[in-house]
Amino acid sequence: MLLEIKGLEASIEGKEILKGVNLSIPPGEIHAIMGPNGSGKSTLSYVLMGHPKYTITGGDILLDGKSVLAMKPDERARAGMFLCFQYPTSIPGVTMPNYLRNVLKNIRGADVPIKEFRKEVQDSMRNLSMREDFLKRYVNDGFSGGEKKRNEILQMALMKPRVAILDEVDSGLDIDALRIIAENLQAMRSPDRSMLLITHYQRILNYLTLDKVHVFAEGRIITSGGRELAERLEKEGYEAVIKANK
Amino acid sequence: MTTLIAEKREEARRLLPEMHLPSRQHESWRRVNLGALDIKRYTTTGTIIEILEKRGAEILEGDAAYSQAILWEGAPEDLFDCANLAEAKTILIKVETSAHVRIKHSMGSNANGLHHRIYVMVPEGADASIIEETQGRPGDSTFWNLHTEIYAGAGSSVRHLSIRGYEGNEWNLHRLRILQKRDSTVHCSLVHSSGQTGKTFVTSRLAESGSTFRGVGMTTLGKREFLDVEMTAEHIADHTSSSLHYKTVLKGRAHSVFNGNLLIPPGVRDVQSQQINNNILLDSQARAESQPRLVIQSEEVSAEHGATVGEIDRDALFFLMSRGIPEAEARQLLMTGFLTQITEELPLSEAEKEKIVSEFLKRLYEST
Repeated sequence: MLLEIKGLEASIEGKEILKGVNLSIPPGEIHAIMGPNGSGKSTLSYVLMGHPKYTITGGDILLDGKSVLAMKPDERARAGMFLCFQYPTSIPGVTMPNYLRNVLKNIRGADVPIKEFRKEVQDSMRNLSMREDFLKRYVNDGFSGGEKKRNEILQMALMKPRVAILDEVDSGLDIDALRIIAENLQAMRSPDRSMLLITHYQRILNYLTLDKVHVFAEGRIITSGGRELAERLEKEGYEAVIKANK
Repeated sequence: MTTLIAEKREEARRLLPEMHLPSRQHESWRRVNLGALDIKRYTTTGTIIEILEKRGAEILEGDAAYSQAILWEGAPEDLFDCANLAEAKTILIKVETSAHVRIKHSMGSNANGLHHRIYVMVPEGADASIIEETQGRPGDSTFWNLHTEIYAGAGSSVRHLSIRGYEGNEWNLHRLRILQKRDSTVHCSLVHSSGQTGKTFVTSRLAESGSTFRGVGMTTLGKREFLDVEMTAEHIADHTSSSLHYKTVLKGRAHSVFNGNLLIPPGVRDVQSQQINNNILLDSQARAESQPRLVIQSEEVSAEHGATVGEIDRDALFFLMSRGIPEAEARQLLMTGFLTQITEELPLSEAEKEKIVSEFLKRLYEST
C-alpha cells in the first residue's frame, strides 16, 4: 500500500474529531471520500499532512509502510505527500516565482536552473489555462476562489507528489474551471501516484476514473464502494446512506 | 546678511540653556525613557554629510542654505529640536526641475554625537527623490539628532526615504516635517533597524487643497531596543488625502510604539485618511503598541485605521511547510513577505530592496 490509515483518532482542544479512520490506497488508485459538512473530512486532510493544531490520540498513518506521525509537515511533503487546501493561505509580499522556486528547491533537494524552471512552470500553467501575469502576483493574494484552486493544482503538477490529498478541490469552481482541474488531475494519474479526493459532490467524479468511494460521517469511514456509491449518495442523500450503514 | 533662519538659530541658542529633556507627561514622550540621556556628554564637532548621488539639484551649505530655506513656523518643539536648530550642520537641497539626491550622515572619527539639519526645497511642478542614509557605529554610546524639512511646491512630486541601520548603542532622534502646497504629492518612507532608544516624528502639513501624503515605514528591533514612531497628517485644507502604513518585526524584549495622528480642523471638507499598523512579535516578551490619535473636528471626512499585533500566522506557516519548506525557512519567507509590502514602495532598485530586507532580517535573527 502507498498510503495506509489505521484506526486514526485525532482531537483538537480536547474535542475528538477523528474516531478511528481506516483506509488503504494502493499505488496508482484514485479514491474519493464523500461526506456531509462537519463530518471531519477536512480535519482528516490536515491530520494526514501533520497540522500541529491537532493531537493524534490513536492509530497510525503509513506511507510506503512507514509511519509519518513523527514527521513534520515539510518532511511529509518531501517524502511525497501533498495537500491541496480547500482554502489556500495567501502570502502577501512573496511573489509566485520566488515561492515556487523555494518549493521546488526543497522538494527536489537542489535549485532548479532558471531556464528549466520557467519552461516547466509555463507548460503547467498552459495546461491549466492560467494567464502569464499570474507570475507577477503574490501567492494567492487577491486571487479568486478558482484562481487559488488552479494555483494549488499548478503546485501539485510541479511537485509531482506520490500521494495527493485534495480537499474539496471542486468547491467554488465554475463548470469550465472544474473540467480543466479534473482533466489535469486525470492526466497526473500514474501507476506510482495515488490520490485521495475529498468532496461533497459527485460532479468532479464524472471526469475521473475512480477506483473507490468512501462515505465519511461522524469522524470515520462508514461504508465504501465503487462509483455506484457516489451515484447512490447523489440520489438518496447522505442522511439515508448514513442511516442505512449505522 | 541677517536672515530669518539666522534669527531663529540665534533664538534657539538663547533658549537652549534653559531647556530640559522632554517630560514623560507630554503625550509624545510618554513611552520614551530618556532618563539616562545626557546630551552634554556627546561631542558633535566634525560630523559629516556625504553627498553620495546628486542630479538636478544644487546643494548649499551654511549661510547660503539659511537664506533660502522656507521654514516651518513656530518655536522649537523640544530640547532636541532646539539643540538641532542651534547647533546643526545644515545643508539645503535646492531642486531644479527633476532631482535625485542621496546623502549619508556619519559621525566622523572625533564625534560621538550629531546634529544635522537638511532642508529640501522642491519648486512648483518639480519632482524629487531624496534618500538619507544613517549608519550607526559599533562601540560606545552615540547620539543622533537629525532633522529634515521639505517644502513641496504646488503640483510637485516628492519621494523621501530614510534608511537607518543602527548598531544598538544609539540614542536616535529623527524629525521630518513636510509642508505641502496645492496638488503636491509626497511619499515618505523610513526603514529602521536596531538602535537603543529612538523617537521619530514624521509630520506632513497638507496646507493646500489637492495635496496627498503617503507615509510608510518598517522597523526591526531586537534585544531591549526601543523605537517610538509618531506619524502625523495635518489636513489643513479641503480635498486632501493621507495614508500611513507602518510595520514592525520585534524580537527579544524589543518595544515598539506607533502613534498615528490625524488632525482635521473644523470646516475642512472632503478629506480621506487611512492608517494601518501591523506588528509581528517573534518572542513573548517583545511588545508593540499602536496608538491612533484621531482629532477630527469636521464631518465631511473618511478616516480609517487598523492595527494588528501577533505572532507569525500559524496557518500560513503550515501552508508553506506542507509544500516542503522547512520551518526556519518558511518563517524567513513570511517575514520577507511581510516587509516586502513596505519595501516595494521604496524609491530603490529591486536588488537594493531585497538587500535591505535580507540584511534587516539577518541582523534581527542574529541579535540575542
